[in-house]
Amino acid sequence: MGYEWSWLVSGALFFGGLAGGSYVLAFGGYMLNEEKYRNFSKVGYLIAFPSAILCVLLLAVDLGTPTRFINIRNITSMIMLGSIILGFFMLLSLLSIIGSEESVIFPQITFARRTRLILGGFGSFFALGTVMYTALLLGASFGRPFWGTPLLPYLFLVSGVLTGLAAIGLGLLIRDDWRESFPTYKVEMTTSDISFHFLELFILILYLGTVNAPTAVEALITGELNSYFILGVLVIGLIIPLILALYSMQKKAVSNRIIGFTFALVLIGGFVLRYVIVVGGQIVPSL
Amino acid sequence: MFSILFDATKCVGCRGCQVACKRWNELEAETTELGTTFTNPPDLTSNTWIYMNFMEEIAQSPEDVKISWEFTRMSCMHCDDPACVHVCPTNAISKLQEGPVIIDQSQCMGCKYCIQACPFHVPRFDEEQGVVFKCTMCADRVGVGTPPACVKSCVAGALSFDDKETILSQAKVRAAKINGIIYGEKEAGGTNVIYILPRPAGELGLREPSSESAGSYWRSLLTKISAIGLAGAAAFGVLGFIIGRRDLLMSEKEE
Repeated sequence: MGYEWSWLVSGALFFGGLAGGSYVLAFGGYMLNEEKYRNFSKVGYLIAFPSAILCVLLLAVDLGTPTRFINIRNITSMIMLGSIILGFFMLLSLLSIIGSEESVIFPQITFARRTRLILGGFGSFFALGTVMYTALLLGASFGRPFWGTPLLPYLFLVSGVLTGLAAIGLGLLIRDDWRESFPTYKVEMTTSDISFHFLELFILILYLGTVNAPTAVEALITGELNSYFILGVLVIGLIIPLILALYSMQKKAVSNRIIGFTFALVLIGGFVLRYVIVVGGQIVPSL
Repeated sequence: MFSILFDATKCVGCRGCQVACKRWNELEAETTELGTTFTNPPDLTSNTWIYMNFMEEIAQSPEDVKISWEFTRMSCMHCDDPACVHVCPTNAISKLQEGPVIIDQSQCMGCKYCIQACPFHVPRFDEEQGVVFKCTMCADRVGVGTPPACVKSCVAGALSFDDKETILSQAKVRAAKINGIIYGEKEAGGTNVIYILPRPAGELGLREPSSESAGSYWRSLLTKISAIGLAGAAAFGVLGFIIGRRDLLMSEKEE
């Protein structure tokens, strides 16, 4: 069966969450300890901007007539509000890359500390707005009760931060000089990873238990989306990474490959979560 | 504001409304296959803006086998507060003063948001043209005081057209007389197509949205989201204070 919104929109919502989550974490790290989290913040900003671009691109590709994107003018539509939020966020996240210390792309430019703080503050506001937008876009759909729950924005927020953390972790493992700094964040990253996993699991259970859309919930648990949900979201995205994170907390010497593998699983789980929610919401009782 | 009244108890299932809609709106015919019922075409498409749902029930007793029919109109309900208008980012969808909810295809960018928002699951996306179509309530006819083509063609008198107050009062009188049910008066905050049904809407294959309008749904959802956000922020604040206080006491103790 075909659905109006499928992989492309799911991908857009995933990258929107990833962009916002990684930006907030990058700025959070910068605020906590500028010296210690320099590489962490740098990687976070480097992930946020292209992810936001991918979010917009995927949404645009899904349009039937993309050239009419310029026709957007209804301020009450979440697409219009989202476009404004994403526009500001893309600009601020690009400036954050340019202005960060020892920037990878523009090493000759560094903004003053005060400018970076103001930029990060506004950027985080729009980053959170971007993550919330990905859920409110669905929530505003009056005809889809599976999306019309106040818990969805918070589920996407926690998932966005979790995938942001995983993407930053993976990013840090790519380059030699960044990889060297990884052990300094390892404890904090693992602790945060475990906390966000439990929080996401809690909100997910609460969401599925309270949402007034039995057909959609059934599709996820026992129906056509069952394998995506059980295997993709729960096993790959939550349970295995949680076990590996708990294991790495116990054992100090865990190879970077296992850590990288854990982060990759979190990213896959985050994407599949968006997919089952986007498609699940469109499964309605047959007439 | 005008409304259409559909009295399901008078409909004979001739499909004249389907044909009239195709003719007036110059919609191409589609090749369809007969399914397990006589409903044909089986669903709305970008070229089919109305179809009659045929519900066949076989009442079987040892002495007698009877087939009973119920016919239900499947098309746009032209909501008073249309969700599709709220969500459409390009203002391609509008609610006219006369009652019809129409889509201007020249403005539509094919985001399919209206399809997701519609509580009756009516708009349909045209893959070739990349835009969305649905019933217009023959706004071009209504604008000059002529009933929609489906109403004009109805030979059984199941469809009528008048201002909304008259239609609602007619519906109430008729529903009281036959012990029927009125559909469309409260659903999704009220619509400009009113049905008189012999049985509950769900039993006739109709969607049953709540009585909340699109606007009040959105306001209520945002209020709940804000309340959870504030409660979460307060909980984290308290937690942060407790942890901070504990750390302070521990460091004082160590000193």
